Amino acid sequence: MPHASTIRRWTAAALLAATALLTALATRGDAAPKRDAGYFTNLPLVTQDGEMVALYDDLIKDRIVVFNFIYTDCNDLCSFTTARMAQIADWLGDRVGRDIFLYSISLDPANDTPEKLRAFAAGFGIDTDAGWTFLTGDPADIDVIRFKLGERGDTKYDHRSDMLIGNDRLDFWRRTSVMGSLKVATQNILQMDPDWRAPIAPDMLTETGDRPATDFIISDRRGEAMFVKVCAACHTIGSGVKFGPDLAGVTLRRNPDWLLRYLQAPDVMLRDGDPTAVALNARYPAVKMPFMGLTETDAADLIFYLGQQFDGLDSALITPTAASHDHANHDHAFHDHSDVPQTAPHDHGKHDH
Amino acid sequence: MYLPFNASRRRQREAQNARNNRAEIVKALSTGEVSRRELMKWGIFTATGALANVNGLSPFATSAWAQEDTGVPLSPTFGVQPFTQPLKRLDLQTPETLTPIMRGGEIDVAFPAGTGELAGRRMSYHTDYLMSGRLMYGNATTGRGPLEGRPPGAYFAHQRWAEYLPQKGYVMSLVPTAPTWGFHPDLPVQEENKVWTFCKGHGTQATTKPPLIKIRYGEPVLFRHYNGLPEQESKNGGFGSHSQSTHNHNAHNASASDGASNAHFFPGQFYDYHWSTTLARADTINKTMTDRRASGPDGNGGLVHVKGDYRELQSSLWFHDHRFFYTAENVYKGHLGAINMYSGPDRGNEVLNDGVNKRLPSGSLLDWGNIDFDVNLVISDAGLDEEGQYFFDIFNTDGFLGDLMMVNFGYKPFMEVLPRKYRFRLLNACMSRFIRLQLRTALGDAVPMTLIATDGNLLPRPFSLNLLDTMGVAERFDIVVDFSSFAVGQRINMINLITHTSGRGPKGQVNYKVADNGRSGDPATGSLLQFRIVDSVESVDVPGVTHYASQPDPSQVPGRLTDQIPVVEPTRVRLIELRRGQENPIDPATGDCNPSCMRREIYPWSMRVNGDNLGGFNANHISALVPKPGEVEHWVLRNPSSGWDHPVHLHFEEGVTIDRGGKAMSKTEKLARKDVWRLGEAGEVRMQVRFGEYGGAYVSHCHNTVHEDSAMIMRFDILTDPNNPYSSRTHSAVMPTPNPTPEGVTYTTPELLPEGNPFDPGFQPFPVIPPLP
Repeated sequence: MPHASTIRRWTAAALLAATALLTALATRGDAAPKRDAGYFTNLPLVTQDGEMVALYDDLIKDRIVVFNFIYTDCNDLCSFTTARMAQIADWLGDRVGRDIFLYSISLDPANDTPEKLRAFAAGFGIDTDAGWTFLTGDPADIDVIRFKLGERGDTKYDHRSDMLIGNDRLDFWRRTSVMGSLKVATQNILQMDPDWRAPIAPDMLTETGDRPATDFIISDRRGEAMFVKVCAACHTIGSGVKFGPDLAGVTLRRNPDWLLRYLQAPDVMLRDGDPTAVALNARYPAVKMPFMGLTETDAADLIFYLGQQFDGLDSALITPTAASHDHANHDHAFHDHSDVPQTAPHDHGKHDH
Repeated sequence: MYLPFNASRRRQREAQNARNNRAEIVKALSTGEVSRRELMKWGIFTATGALANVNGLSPFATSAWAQEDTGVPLSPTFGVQPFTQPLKRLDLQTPETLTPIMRGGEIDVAFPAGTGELAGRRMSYHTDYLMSGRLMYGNATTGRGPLEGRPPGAYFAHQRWAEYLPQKGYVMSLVPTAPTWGFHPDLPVQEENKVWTFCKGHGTQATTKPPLIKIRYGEPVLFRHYNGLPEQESKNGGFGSHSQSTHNHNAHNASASDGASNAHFFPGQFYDYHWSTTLARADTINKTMTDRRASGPDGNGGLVHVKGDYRELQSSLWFHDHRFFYTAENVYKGHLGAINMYSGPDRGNEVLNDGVNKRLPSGSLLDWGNIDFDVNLVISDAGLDEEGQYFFDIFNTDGFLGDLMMVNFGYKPFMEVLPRKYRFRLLNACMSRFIRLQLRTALGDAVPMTLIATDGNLLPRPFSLNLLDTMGVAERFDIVVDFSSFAVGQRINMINLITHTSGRGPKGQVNYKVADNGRSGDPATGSLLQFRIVDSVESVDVPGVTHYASQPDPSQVPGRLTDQIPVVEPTRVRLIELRRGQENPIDPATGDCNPSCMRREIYPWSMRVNGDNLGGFNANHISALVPKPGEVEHWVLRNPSSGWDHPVHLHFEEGVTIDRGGKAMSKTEKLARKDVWRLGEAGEVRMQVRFGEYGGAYVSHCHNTVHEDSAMIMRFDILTDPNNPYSSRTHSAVMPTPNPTPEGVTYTTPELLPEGNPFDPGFQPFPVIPPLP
C-alpha cells in the first residue's frame, strides 16, 4: 500500500503534466515480485449481499482461489458453466470456504445488482455463505480486474469458459477448463494444494494381452458425449430433478418435433410464448433452459440417446443409481437426488460428502 | 504490444512506471487513501469512471504519441549490441549403444554397464510398479508414485517394439539452468527456474543451449527423458508447469511416444519415448526393402534398407513440450531441441557419390551426419523484465510476443562462414510470432536462397528465391545459401520483415530498411543474425580440423531431390474449422435469423469437425476417428475469422498441400509436403493425408501455442488393422485416456463425437463444404 507521502507526491505531481506525474513515481526494483495487490490490485467489488470487498486483501490473500466470469442475463453459457462449477464445488465439499474459495465475477456490473446475483446463485442451489461468492462492482474497476485475471475478450459475449485457479501463498496460477472433464478440473484445483495427494485408484489395464477391454470397442454411442457435456450438468435420466427436469421418458411425453425445436432454440420458443416452454420456465423459474448452439443433427442425436437410455431404464426407475452415464462424473452418480420433490430446484450446495 | 525500440527513453520509462503505478493508483483508490473525485480533478479519471487515456495509466489506453496500444516496456538490453556474440551451435548429443536382452517373452534393451540406467522395456515400469504392489520401481526422488511416468499396460506399451528395437539410447534431463546461463555474456544470468532446458544424462543443471540429436533411418532410438524439475509446482519462476510431455515433431511414432496423448510425467520420473525411425507406408509400399532410396546410412559408406515410401523421408524435425494447457509456457521456457533425420538421399555427406546420396551441403569428415556446413537455426522471441530476467505473461490468452529475437537461445548472434554453400535448417520456435526472412548484404542487396525442404520434407524440385514465405510457429524451411561470390570480410544479415501488434496474428510486412531502422512499430523486426565471411573455420564434426576458404566446395543442390506424391480421389473429406461455436443460429420458427434471432453468447474457440458444435477441447473426447490405415483423406482446414491467424499442425503424418479454397498459393506451398499450415485470416487450406503403421490417440492443433493452450486443439484416434501381423492389435480399438497424477496414472473412457466417427450411421464421408464467408 502506498504511504501518505506517495499520495502527497501524486498531488504535487498532478499540478504538472500527467506524463511528468508518472515519471516522478518510484519504480519497483525487485526482479520477480510476487503477484500480490501490486499485480491484482485491491479494487473494490460488491458481493451478492452488498458487502464491499477488496480484490486482493479480501478475496485472494492466503487462499486457493477459483475465478470465473458470468453475467446474469447470459442464460446460455453462464448457466451451463455455473451448473458445472456447482458440481465441482459439491465434490470439493467442505474445503470450499475453508481454504478453497470460488468467485464468479459479473461482466455486466451495470445491470447485475447484488439482488440479481443472489437470485442467480439461488437458482443453482449455491450457498453463498459457504465459500462461493458472486461479485459485481464499478464497470471501470471490473475492466481492470478482468484484464488482470486474463479475461481479455473484446466483448462480454465472447468471454472465456475456463477458470483461473491459483494459490496465493505460492504465487502459482493456472487455468483449467470447465467444459472438459469435471473430474480433471476438480483434481486441478486440489493440486493447487501442494499437500494434496491423489487417492490410490485400483490398478487398471495392466493386462498384457493383445485385446483391449470390451468397453472400448466402438459401438454406436451417438448423442452420449453431448449428453455428458451439455445436459448432465443440470439433468439426470431417471435419477430425479437436479436443476432442471428429470429427462427419463422425455421422448415419450414430448412430441419429437417439439423436442427437436426446443433443443435448438429454447429461448426463442419461450419468448414466442410456446405453452410448454412457458410452463417449464414457470416450473423451474431460477434456471432457464439455455441456448446451447445445437444444430438439428445435434438435437436429433440427443433425442436418439435420450430414447435409448429410457429403453434401458425399466429397472433403473426403481433403483435409480444405475442411471448415469456421465463419464466425466464417474463415481459420483446422482445418488441423493431421487427423493427430491419434482418441482423444487434442488439445493445442491449443501450436501455432506 | 511492445514499444518500438526507438521509443524515447522518456516513453519507455513511462511505460515501466505505468506498469507499476497503475497498480499503486488503483490500490490507493480502493483503500480510500485517495478519492475518485481527486483523481478526476487531476485528469486521471474520466467522468464515467474509467481510467483516462493518460498514457500508461489504463491497460486499455492509447498512447499520446501514436494511435496504438500503450504497450509494455521494451526488454532491457543493458547496452548489449546485436551481433556481439558468436552463434552457439545446438548442443550435439552422443548416444549410448543398447544391447538386446531376453526377459521371459520380452526383449529389453540394456544400457552399457556403468551408466546405472535400467534397461528399456516394451511396457512401462509403471506396470511393474503396480504389479509389485507399489513396492518396487517407485519414484525414489519424491517417494510418490512410479519411477516411470509412461502409463501402465498395453495401451502405452511401445508398438512394433521388436521390429524397431532401439539400438541407441539418449538419456537426458530437463532441469533448471546453472547460475552461469544467460542469453548473452553481457546480459544478466538467468535466475534458477526462469529457464528449464536439457542437460546430458541424469544431471541437475543445464549449462548449454538446446540439444541437437542426429538420428538415421534404420537405427531406432530410445529417448529416456528424466524430469529434473522442482517437486514443488510453484517453484516455476512465474510460469511453466513441472509436469511435462515431449512431442517429437513430426516423426512417425506410436501414440505413446508422440507426447500428446495426455500422458505427462512428474519430477523424479522418467518417460521412455520410442523414436522408431519408421518410414511412413512401411506396411504398404516397398515392403520388401528393395528401393535403395528408402534407407539410412550404415556408417561405412553403405546403406541400411528400410520398409516404406522414400517420398515420405523426413529431415529437419524438432522436439518440444506438449503438456496440455501449458505448452506455450513450457516450450518458451526451454523444453525444445532439434532432430536431424538422416537417410540415403539426405546423408549429411557432401562427397559420397553412390547415386542415392544427394550430396547436399554438410561436410565430409564423417560418414553421415556432418554439420560443419549444415546448421540448425532455432529462431525464437523473448521478453525480459526490468532486471533482465525471462518474462512471460500467463494472463495473456491472445498470444504472447517477445521483443528480443534469439537464435539458438542466444541474443542476435553472428556466425562466421566460409565463402561456399551452406545448408540452414530454419525453425520458427516462437510462441505466437510469425516471421518472414530475407538475406541482405551491407549494401542492401538481396542474397538468393535455394529452398530444399518444407517442414523437413525435401522438395521434388528445389528453387531459388530472394524472400522466403512467412513462417508460422513451428514451420521449418531448409535452405541452401551460396556465399562463394562474397569476399572475406563481407557481412550478410538475416532480417525478419513481419510485424505484430498482438499475438492474434501478424499485422503486416515492412521492407528491410524499415524493418531495421526502428520505424516498423515492432521491435522484433529487423536483423536477427549476421553472417561474416572468413577464410577459415574450425570443424565441429572433428574438433581440431580447420576448413579453409581455399578448399573446393564439393556439395551439390541437384535439380531433383525426390518425387511428388500425387493428389488422388479421397475415401473421405473432413471439414475442420477453427472457430467459436455457432454464432448465427437459425430460428426454427421462421428459418430466418434477422431480425428474429436473439443475441446469443459466443461459444469458445475450438477445432470443430464436420460441423460439430460442441468443441472445447477435452483430452477425453475424440473429434475424429481414422477407422483403418491406408485410406486417403482430404482435410479442409478453415479459419473463418478475420483478425486472427492460425498455424495448424497435424501430428504423426504430413499432408500434401492441395489448395487454398480459391485463393492464391505461393510457389513454396504448391503441392508441398508439410505438417504446419498457416490458414490466413478468413482463409483455408486443403491437404491430402494418409495414416498408417501405428494407432492410438493423436492431436491436431493451432501451433500458436497460446491458442493451443486455450483449447484450439482436437484429438483424433487412429485404429490399426487387426489383421496386420506387424501392427499393434491392442490399438485396433479406441484407447482410453490417461489421467496422470504424481501418484500414478489412471484411465478414463473417452467420448466419441459422432461427426468425426465413420462408424456412426449419420457420418458424412463427403460433407457439404460451404464457401468461405
